[in-house]
Amino acid sequence: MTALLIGLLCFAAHVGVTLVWLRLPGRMSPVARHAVSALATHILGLVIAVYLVEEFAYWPAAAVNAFGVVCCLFAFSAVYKSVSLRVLTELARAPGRSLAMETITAEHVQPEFEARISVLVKMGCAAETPEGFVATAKGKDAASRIQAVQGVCGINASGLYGAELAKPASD
Amino acid sequence: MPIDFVPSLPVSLSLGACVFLPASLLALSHRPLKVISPARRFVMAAALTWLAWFAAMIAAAPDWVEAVTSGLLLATATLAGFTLWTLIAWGFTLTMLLALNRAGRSLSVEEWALAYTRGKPLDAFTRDRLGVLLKLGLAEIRGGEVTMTPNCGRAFARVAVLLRKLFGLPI
Repeated sequence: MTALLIGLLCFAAHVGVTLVWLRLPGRMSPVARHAVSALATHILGLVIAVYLVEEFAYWPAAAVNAFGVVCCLFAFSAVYKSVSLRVLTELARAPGRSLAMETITAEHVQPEFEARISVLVKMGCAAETPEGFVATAKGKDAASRIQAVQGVCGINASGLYGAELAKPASD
Repeated sequence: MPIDFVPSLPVSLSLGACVFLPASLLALSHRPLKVISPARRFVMAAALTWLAWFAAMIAAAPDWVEAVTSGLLLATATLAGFTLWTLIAWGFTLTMLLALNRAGRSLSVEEWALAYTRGKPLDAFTRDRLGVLLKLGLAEIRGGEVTMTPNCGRAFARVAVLLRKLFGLPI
């Protein structure tokens, strides 16, 4: 029971640190900030607990802390990167809560596509030339590593969820 | 030692289940057990793992702290595995890089989008991502327009906006 509580307090500390850190400028990516904060608050929490508590089991504390951290990262990733959720929030803001398919593509999906191009250029994986965009040596290397992982996982990536989802629903 | 790092039997079994999840996922990714759909593959691997874990827990008869610890450990592994799996199978930026690399030449933004969707208009990508919203009942298509559903859709959109505010992301 004490160990569960220690894990919960480590998680609470992680939430506090992350929410502040995500608002501060810096070069470190948001996901890396989550990871560093999770690890630091876990270790610090355990060290403090050693001084305050006589004896406790590690795994219950680790389980509660890890589950909280993963849920937090999952929620952050969903609202940070998910195109579907982004479209949903745009629908919520639109008059009548509805948008034409063409509008969604032109005003939300196309800009999102261009934003991801900027990310790839910023990461040094793609470069803009007078003829258009090309994969850099770093990009080619990353692509071949991704393909290797996909091969191990038996995935023929299309980037689309699937034909059964892609069909438009009837009116 | 004030911290007991030795896992109990139920916790050890859960850690084993955490390893079993990616192992079963890999087994289902290749012949003879291959499940074609990556989404169904993950669901099957997770279901198999949780069934095996449940059987192991009945045999190990843990107390409530061990049961909570064990369940949280496997839930953490499942959620983390799901996040990684979706990234490998459907990652937007990642698939864009693969498409650029596959093209082997410079691409304009429009050509890159076509390479991403394998020759379909960007609308196909919009429909694909919207398919998730439609399937989950968060949006529907009415008279050619995409409309947010009044209950589920609105609730989800509110949560998404709240989370964006909480994480300090622009609305």
